[in-house]
Amino acid sequence: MDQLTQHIELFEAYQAKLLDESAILEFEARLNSDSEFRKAYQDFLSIEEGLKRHYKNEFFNQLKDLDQELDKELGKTKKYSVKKLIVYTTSIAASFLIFFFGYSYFQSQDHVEIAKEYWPIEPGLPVKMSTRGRYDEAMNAYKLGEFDKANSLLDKISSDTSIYFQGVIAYELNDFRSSRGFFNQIEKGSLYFNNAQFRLGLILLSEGDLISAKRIFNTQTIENNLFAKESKEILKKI
Amino acid sequence: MANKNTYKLIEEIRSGSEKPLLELYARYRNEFIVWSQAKYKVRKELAQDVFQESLFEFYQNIISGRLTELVSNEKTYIFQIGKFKIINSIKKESRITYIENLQMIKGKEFEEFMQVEDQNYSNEQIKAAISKLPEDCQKVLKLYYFDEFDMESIAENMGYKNADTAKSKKSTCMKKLVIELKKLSMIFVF
Repeated sequence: MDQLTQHIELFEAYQAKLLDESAILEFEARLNSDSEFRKAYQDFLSIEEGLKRHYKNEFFNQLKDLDQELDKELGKTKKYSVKKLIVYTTSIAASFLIFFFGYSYFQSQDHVEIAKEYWPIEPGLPVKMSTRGRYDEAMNAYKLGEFDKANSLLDKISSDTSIYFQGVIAYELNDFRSSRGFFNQIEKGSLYFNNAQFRLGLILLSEGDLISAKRIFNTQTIENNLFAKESKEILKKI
Repeated sequence: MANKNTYKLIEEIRSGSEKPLLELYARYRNEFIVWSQAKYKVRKELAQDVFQESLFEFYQNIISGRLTELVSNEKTYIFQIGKFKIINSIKKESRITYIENLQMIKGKEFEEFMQVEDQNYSNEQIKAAISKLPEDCQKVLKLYYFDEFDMESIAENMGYKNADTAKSKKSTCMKKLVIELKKLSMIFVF
C-alpha cells in the first residue's frame, strides 16, 4: 500500500497519458522488473475499477428504487391491457353479431316482403246463382274473409281443390307451416300443382329456406308455366 | 431530426445531472418491458435489466462524447440499444449448454460473478471507503470515474482555480481512499 500511496500521481499520469515517451518506457520497464511496483499499480487499477463499478451500481440502485413504483403501474397497465383486450374483443364480437343478425334480419325481412309482393291473389272459385256446387258455401265464406268457416267447410271435402284452398287460407292466417303442409299434398297431376308449388316456394322464401325456395322457382321457370316470369324475377332478387 | 429538447437533454446529462436519466427511466421503462415482452417473449426481469443497461449505455455515450446529437428522439435511440442487447442476450442464452446437475449462472449474473472473483476490493469495501471521504472528495471522484469529466471540467464544476488544482485534488482524494481501504482491509483480515 505504501508504494501505491507513494506513486499515485505517477499512476494517474500514466493512465491519463500525460507522461512523455521516455517516462513511459521507464514506467513500463519498472512494471516488468519491480514486482512491488507492479503490485501497487495493479492495486491502483483495481481501485479504479472498483470505483467505476461502485458508481455504476449506485446509478442502477437509483433505478431499482424507481422499479417498485413502476411495477405497480406496469401491473395496472397489464390489467388495463387485458381489460382493454376483453372490451375490444367483446365489442368486435358484439358488432359482428349485431351486423350478422341485422343483416340476416333485413335479408329475411326482404324475403318476406318479396313473398308478399309475389303472392298471387286467389279470388276463389265462382259461385253460380243458378246451380248449387259443392264448394259454394266454402267459397262464399272464403270471399267474405270468414276463413275459419271456410276452412271447416273445406275440411269436409276430400279433393285437391279443398287442400289447395286450405293451403291458401292457412297462409292468409299466417300459419305458414300448415300452409306448406297443404301445398305439399298437391300432386303433380293436379290442376293446382304449379300454383301450389309457386306458393310453396314463396312460403319457403318467407321462412328463410332459400335453397328449397330456389329449387322450386327454378323448376317453375324450366316448365315455362303460369308463374315462369315471376319465378325468374324472384330468382334474380334473391 | 433532433429538436431543441434533445439537445437540452444531452447538455443536461453531459453537465453531470442524473435527473433527466431517472426521468427517462420512469417514462419509458414500462413501455420497453411491455414492448420487449410482446416482441421477443423475454422475461420481465431480463427486459428490466436490459433497459437499465441501455440507459446506462446512452448515458456513457453522451459523457464520452460519442453521442452529441440525435437523429431520432431519445426513446428510439434507447430502445434501439435495448433491442440489440435483447437479441444478443437471446443468442447468448441459446449458446449456453447445461451440464447435468450443474446450475450454470447465465448472462449478466455470470459476468458479475466473474468480476467479483477477479476484483481485489469488494463493492462493500469500496462503498465503505468512499463514505469515509470528505464530501468534496466523493464528488471529485464521481465526476472523474462516473461522469468522465476531464480536469478542466472538474475544476469548473467544483469551483477550483484550474485543471492542475483539480488534478492535485483528485490525487489527494485517491490517496485518502487508499488509506481508508487499507484500514478496512485490516478490519476484514483481523
